Amino acid sequence: METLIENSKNNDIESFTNLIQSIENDLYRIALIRLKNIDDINDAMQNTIINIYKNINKIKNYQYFKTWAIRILINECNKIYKQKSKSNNYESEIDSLPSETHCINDIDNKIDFELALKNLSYEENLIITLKYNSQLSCSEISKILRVNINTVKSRLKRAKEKIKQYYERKEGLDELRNR
Amino acid sequence: MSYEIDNQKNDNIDNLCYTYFNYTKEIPIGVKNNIKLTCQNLKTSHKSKIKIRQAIVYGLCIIFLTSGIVYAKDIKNFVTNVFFGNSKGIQNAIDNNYILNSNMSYIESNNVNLKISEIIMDNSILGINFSILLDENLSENNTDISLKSILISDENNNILYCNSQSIFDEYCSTYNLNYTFNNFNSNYINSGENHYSTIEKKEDNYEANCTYNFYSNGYPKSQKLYITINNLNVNNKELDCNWKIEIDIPEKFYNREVSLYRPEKNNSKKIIIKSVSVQDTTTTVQLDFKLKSDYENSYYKNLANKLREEGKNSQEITDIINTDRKNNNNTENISSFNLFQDIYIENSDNEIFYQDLNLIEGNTMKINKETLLGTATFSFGLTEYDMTNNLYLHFIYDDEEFFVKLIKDT
Repeated sequence: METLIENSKNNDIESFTNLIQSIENDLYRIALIRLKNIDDINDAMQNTIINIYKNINKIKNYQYFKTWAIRILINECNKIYKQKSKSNNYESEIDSLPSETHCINDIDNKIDFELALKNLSYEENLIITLKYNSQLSCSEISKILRVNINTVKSRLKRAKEKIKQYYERKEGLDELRNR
Repeated sequence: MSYEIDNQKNDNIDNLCYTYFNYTKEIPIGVKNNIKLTCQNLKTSHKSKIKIRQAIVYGLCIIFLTSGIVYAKDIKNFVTNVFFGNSKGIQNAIDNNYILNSNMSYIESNNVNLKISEIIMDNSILGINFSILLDENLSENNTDISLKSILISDENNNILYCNSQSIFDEYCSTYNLNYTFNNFNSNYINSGENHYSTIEKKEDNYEANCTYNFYSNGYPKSQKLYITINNLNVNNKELDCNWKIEIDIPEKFYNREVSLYRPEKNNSKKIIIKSVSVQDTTTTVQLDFKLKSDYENSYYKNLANKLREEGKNSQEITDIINTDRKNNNNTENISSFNLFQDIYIENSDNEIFYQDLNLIEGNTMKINKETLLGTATFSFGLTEYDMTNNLYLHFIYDDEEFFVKLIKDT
């Protein structure tokens, strides 16, 4: 990644494209938490990419590139969300994420987990995604969200607790049904 | 792979999360194409950005030439090399016309001609570029020129800088000021300085450009400066001269803005941020804080780490720390750059500005050992145009990471 960043600073568009593609999954997953349709996600991604390109020369510590890029995206998503949510009709057009599995059990379990995630607040969802999808440390997450590391840890704990409670309730309901 | 959950153990929540995200990695082809297309189209828009930047540099060059200033070999270097080294904050300020190009004529004394060519001034820095014409036989690469016996004062008899006791005493006697040399007060500013010079051979003589960078925690909003220079040193040879210069300071300097930002409340057990003021000319952020407990361990730990990085061995580190402790025991305040680390400021547009260490004069720290009240100034390379309503100051103190949200007072 360091070479890609260095080349991008020298206006090597191919390197810059590869650099962005190396984190496109992270960016997309995070945009999905906030924005409800593909057009808005595309807009947010576009603005983010332009912003990254404009400011890439300011990066000194290359290991923070990903956290920096994610932070830009979160801000762009928030801007669009603020505009769109004023209309009160801003609903999700995206039902579920495509996945690599075709086994029905796995699809059921995947949907269960997505329902569990729906119980989380935006911040809790974001932290879960940053931690488990982008595989960032709590310290890196704190830099992205601009909160202290202890705040990150307590939100993460709360999010995991809520997921656990969802499954406990589900298990209880399943038992009732099976009687 | 199937998901299984054990409600008793959080480890399985971790596994659940990792597995879920691992299995949903594909993103829609439309989004992928959008990303690729956006990147490819960047090249066209980038070219227009370059044109704008070049216009600023050329515009600046034209101003210098029409003012009749004959300067160094490469005028473009002026903005980066003259004042305060490669300071981005200064460069940005100059790019935004925060500089006075003086049109004064040379003043002669003892066959040496001197004038002021540029000045830049705000709360914490005063940069003066002197142009000196000499008949001496000088080497362009090996000449050291400095102005000895300088006194800078203003229309209210504030003394902004003085490096000579004799000139100081004479001034105080003339204006009936009961000050003691090096005993600073609110009207006699504690001001540091550094300087450097470049030499250029002309047809009949040599032109030296001597840049003086003065720095302090608080210069007054002077409208006139009076500069007295009694001595010129050229390669350790002293020439008695006597120059007295009066210069009008432009309104943009003395009407400079200081934006007040209110720090959002933080509940740290280690430090309270009391207030933050942001100087939007060359962007110095002054932080007033109170430490909640003794800072010494953190300070010496950071100092030891820094010395280790510089390659000092254990004995050298111990000796330096012991000397530091001994010196600090005798002072009310401790000055140190070593307390806070990884300092940067971020604006609402996600632009990050690191501490401008080229502007070392704009980076200071002072802590009262008894009260634990401290003031730190950090210099960053952002301009008034970068200063959004919210700023985020980041630093690490005593292994704890801080994000201090700063909200502009309107």
